[in-house]
Amino acid sequence: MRKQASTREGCAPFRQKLSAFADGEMSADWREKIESHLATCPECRQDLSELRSLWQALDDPISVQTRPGFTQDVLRKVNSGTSHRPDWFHSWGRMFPAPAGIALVAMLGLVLGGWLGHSLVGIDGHLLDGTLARTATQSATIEALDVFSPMPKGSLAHGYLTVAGEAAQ
Amino acid sequence: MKHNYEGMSSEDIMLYVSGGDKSAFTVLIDRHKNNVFSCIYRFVRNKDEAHDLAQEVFLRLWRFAHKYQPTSSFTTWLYTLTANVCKTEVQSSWRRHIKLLGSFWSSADAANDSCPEPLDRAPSPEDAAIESERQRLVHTAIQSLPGKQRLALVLSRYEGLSYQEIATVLDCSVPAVESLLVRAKETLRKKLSPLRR
Repeated sequence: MRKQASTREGCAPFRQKLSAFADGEMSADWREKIESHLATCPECRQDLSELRSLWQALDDPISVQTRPGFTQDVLRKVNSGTSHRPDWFHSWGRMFPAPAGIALVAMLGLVLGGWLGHSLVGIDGHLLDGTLARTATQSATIEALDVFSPMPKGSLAHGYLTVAGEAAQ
Repeated sequence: MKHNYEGMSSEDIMLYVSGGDKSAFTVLIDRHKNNVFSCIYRFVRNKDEAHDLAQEVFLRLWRFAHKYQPTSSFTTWLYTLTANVCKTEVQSSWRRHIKLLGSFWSSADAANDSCPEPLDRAPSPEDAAIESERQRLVHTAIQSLPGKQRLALVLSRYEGLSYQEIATVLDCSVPAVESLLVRAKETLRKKLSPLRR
């Protein structure tokens, strides 16, 4: 068992090179080292065999060709001086990737929420309602926030509940 | 003045393209469009998208023709443009999100796109089904690789580029290419183990 472990440790530098060896991308000195190691190491031989069979398994004989008119399409775009992907699109995409955009929107939401909350807090620390608004801005903000209520004024739900409440009384 | 571009190397034709010769450009497109298209198709696995991206490669070729150095291989330069377009596609997270949204209601189209046409028809329906399943597994495994590993794999396995050429195309060192391929193969070995049983 101990011998097995030490063999595996000794194999590490060769294992890293097996892929390049299988691809025929190896300097002469490394190739000699690996070949002599393979002669004595059945596990590395097995690894090499697996790498080669993987390469075979990736065989993918597809036949894909461009559409007819491909060349004319390119020339038309060249003549009109357009690309279907303008550079500003990519540079904007790089400058403003999705995670940064989401973070920015979240930050804006927090700031806006804080500002709205602050604007609705009265001197005594309680939330103002429509009747206690001190300024026209506060009044407008409270009115605007009403659209988020379950039954904003003027909606069908508000009308129904009002009528239902009056009928119950 | 008319030239006989057909007998010229792509490197020589590029000299005319960089001078604004559209006839030379047409010859280059016709000569290389299928290679560029199949390389991109193996990367994105969607014919419409591969078509758009392949056009973009040639538009960039035209736009940046003046930057081509005749000392370097035209094919390597063309693969560099192709790889850059593919990398941009991977980085374009907005497009990916839109595609993801689109995939919810166009799964039928996607399934259609993801089935490449086999070069040879299998002799029996059963063999065809087995081969189709094998190819599906291979495509899914390759698509699961990170962009740079996938590019290195496509360039090495299907386009036959050397590590040195891939390093030039991906603008990295040869050991970095080696490392990309080691990781790609390790992932594929795990994912495709059912195929090798």
